[in-house]
Amino acid sequence: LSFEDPDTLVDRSWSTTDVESLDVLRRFYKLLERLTPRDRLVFILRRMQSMTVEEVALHMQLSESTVKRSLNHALERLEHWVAADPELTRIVNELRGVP
Amino acid sequence: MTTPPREPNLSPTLAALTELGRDRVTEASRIELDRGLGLLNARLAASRAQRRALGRYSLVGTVAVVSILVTAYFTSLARHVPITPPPQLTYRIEGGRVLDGGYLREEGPEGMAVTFSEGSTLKLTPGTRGRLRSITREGARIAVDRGTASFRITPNPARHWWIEAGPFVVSVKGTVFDVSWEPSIERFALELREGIVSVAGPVSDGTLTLRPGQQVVVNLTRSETIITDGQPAKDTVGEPEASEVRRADLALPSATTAPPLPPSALPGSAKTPSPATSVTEVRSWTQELASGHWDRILAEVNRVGIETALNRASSEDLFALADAARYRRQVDLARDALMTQRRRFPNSPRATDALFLLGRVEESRGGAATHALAWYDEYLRRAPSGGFAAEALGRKLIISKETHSTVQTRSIAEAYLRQFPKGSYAGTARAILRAP
Repeated sequence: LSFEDPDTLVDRSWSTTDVESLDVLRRFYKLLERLTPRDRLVFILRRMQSMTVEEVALHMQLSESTVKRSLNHALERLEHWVAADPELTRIVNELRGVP
Repeated sequence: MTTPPREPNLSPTLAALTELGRDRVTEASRIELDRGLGLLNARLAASRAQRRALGRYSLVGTVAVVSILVTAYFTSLARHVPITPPPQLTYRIEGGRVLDGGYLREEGPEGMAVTFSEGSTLKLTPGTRGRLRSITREGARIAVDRGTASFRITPNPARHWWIEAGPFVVSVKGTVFDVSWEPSIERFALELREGIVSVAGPVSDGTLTLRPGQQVVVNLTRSETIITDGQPAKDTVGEPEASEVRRADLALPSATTAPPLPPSALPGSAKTPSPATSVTEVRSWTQELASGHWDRILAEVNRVGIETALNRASSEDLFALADAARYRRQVDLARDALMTQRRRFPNSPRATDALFLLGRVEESRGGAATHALAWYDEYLRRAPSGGFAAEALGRKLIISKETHSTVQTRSIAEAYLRQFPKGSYAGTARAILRAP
């Protein structure tokens, strides 16, 4: 991941042809694009690449406190945007099999 | 000094989105890995060169002179080692310049042109926003953020080009085409003049393959994909389109030979189109599905009646109906179509595939997880290496994670990684096995 330009979203190809999943992923990526580059990269490294806070700090040359604040900021914003999109929640629940 | 807040738990929706993003993103491609390796090597080379230079400074006499020259040489070399390995592809720009991040900024009313050292060219019409995302030995990755760009890619089997336009990625070997993307209306268009390209993105089947003369327009807001079939541009310059027949030419081997339009899903209502004059041809449900016209399929079923439609549709169109119904959350109709597929065409490969899709439908219905698992198990039993095997085992893994014991789930995770170490659910499987 460190090969990527931090200003650009990590956007590898998707390995699914499931239309619902593609649609959800597209919406999710749009939300990620609204984050600042630093918040976005911290979120992706921590939550999608499963790095520890220490590893994220090391890779991004940030302090661990900064990483935690950036992550919390990203999570707050994402949760807010997700909550504001009930259609997205509905589709995700259907994909998860939640009635 | 303030203490950073604790990391909060994610809401179920955001957790699911994160998991989906983690599971469904493929491993890095060979080019991405090579690019990263090149970056690492360049940094190491620069570091080694600097160390050698320092060592040579310590010599005396004539050796010192040589050392100074060597030092100067290596210092110069180190200064010029770029972050990315030296690309064999170089380019020159007319009508603009490249900003940080590869952004192409036009500096005149004529648009921009980028000419690559091996002869490939890229022209941006005035107002178009684009980026040179990466240029490597193997090719280049270029993004069209907004507007229209014309490409003439010099054929070279050793190189591969990718053109990104919104959520679409055009895979190119050597060809001539125009591509446009308008983010405000989520409209993608590509007109192919020469060669063959494949387009990946949110189209019906994930990928489209186009032949010379074809134009594809994808309107995401209307869930519509239209392929206009004309003659290759070099043969029809200045002439109107040869036909306005809408076609859905998916990336199937037979599609490249331009097959005639198949009959309608309902034989009784089918009309044989004339290839030369068929402006409003009868379309099969498979074609409608490929064009994103899910609602048309469902409307036709409502018009003729569900039972009639299920009993008269071909095997192929039953599958299309099941997909259309699934996409529109009509899970009962999807289930009926798949069950009919198994009843009417029990020996067809689609009858086996229907097993997997029935599992998906059961999941969508929010029914008992055991029902979905039963369908996946039956599919895996009949088609252990089938096209949906990885997905079926992956879905089993997800369901098991939520409903079964850790021992069972770990067993499925191990089986998944043995069979599909690079599969979509490999990340989830590894996370399960890593957990205490």
